[in-house]
Amino acid sequence: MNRRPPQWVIVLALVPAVVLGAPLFALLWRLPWSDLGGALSSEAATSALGLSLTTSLAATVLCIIFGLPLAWMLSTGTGVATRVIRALCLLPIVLPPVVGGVALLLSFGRRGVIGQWLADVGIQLSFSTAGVVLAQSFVALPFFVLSVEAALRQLDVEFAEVAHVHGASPIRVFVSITLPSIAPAVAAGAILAWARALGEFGATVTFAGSLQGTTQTLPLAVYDLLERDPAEAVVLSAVLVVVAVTVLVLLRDRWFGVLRAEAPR
Amino acid sequence: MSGLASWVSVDFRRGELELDVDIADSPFAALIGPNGVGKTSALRCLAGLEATAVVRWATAPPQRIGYLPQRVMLYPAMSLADNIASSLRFVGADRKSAMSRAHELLEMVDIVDLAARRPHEVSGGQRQRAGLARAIAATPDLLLLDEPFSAIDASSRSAVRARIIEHIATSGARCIFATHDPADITAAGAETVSVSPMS
Repeated sequence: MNRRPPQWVIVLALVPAVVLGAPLFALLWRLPWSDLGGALSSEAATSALGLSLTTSLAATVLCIIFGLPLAWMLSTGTGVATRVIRALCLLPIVLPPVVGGVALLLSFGRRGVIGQWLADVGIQLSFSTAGVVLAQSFVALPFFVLSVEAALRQLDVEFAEVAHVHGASPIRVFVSITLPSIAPAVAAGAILAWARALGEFGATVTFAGSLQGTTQTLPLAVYDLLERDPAEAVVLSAVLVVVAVTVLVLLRDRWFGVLRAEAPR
Repeated sequence: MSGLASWVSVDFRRGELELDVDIADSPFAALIGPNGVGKTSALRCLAGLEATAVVRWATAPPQRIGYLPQRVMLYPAMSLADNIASSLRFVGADRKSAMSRAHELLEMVDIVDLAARRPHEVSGGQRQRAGLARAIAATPDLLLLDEPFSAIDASSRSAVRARIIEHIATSGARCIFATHDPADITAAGAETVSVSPMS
């Protein structure tokens, strides 16, 4: 049987391929190849690059530290509480980032529910670099938790059972048996979370503002530069494209990877 | 089925299985019976893996259990040697002595050349050998083995089996194993316990 779709289907299918591909080509087309180094070494660019790198890595580390226990808890639970917490964790994926930023302001802002307590002890998150990290963690955490939880659920529980019978404590089982077995998914989740943190715009600009050197990350700098210095905005955009493509290549086939005891059939 | 001096009895509360084992005379007890009768469940109950099971030990309950499930379940991220060493590491052995013991046991089951391989890189029979070594590594006082020799090739099965049985007998451990192979029972001189679902 000829499984190829008819020609008109192929024509329809090519439309989104062009729509998705054209912007990428346009970006490369307009890239000021001769002055890449110059554009990347401007003050706005270097501070945005440095800030983005540190904040997104910090956000990724936070996602791992808090995401692993969260994913572990979610993967074992079946009750209503588990489902509510999971829904809360996944909310940032579907929530418009700007709304996330507003919600962060209302909770962790200077007059926010939690923020005013923090202000009393001298901690201000909004419009600070720490606030950028918080905004990035907020939007990135679900990607890490989803990836790890899926792997934990997929992992055969009998591995942990054997270790338990052989005298390993629950923490020992998790660290020595479970975690190494889902390492590909943890890595994939961390990369995904990092990419999401790096590209964060809406929540960051709302909660932390766009102050060069303090809260102006790469995407914010791109938006800011677009009017003043379009060529430089294009160069910084290209940096983000390169990162995105690298992430895609790294993640090929290993979104929810779990090691197995037997060779796949 | 009932035991005489009931060393152990399991009452599987989902209402399906009752098991009394008396292995006063032999350190080996073989669970026999058709597929699906509950041999694996009985072993899982004894291992403490079934929350609904109530296990009564007539003698002191085991301090340390060695367990080989039917699907072996070698830890996928570890080499065969690390799998075996893990049993010792879990009970407090240092890495060096655990690894040297692991290599002795790998030699005992004839797969020392596979020490560095991962479980998915070896055959089912080789995994079973490593699983046996992992179960006996920490000198447990009770061994629970689910069809322990079923995947080992016929040509070397009796040799490996003899060595494992000898090892268990000398260690003073008790061993309850599920099997479909009469040769296992003969080789171990095991008392048989036919598992039957409660009516």
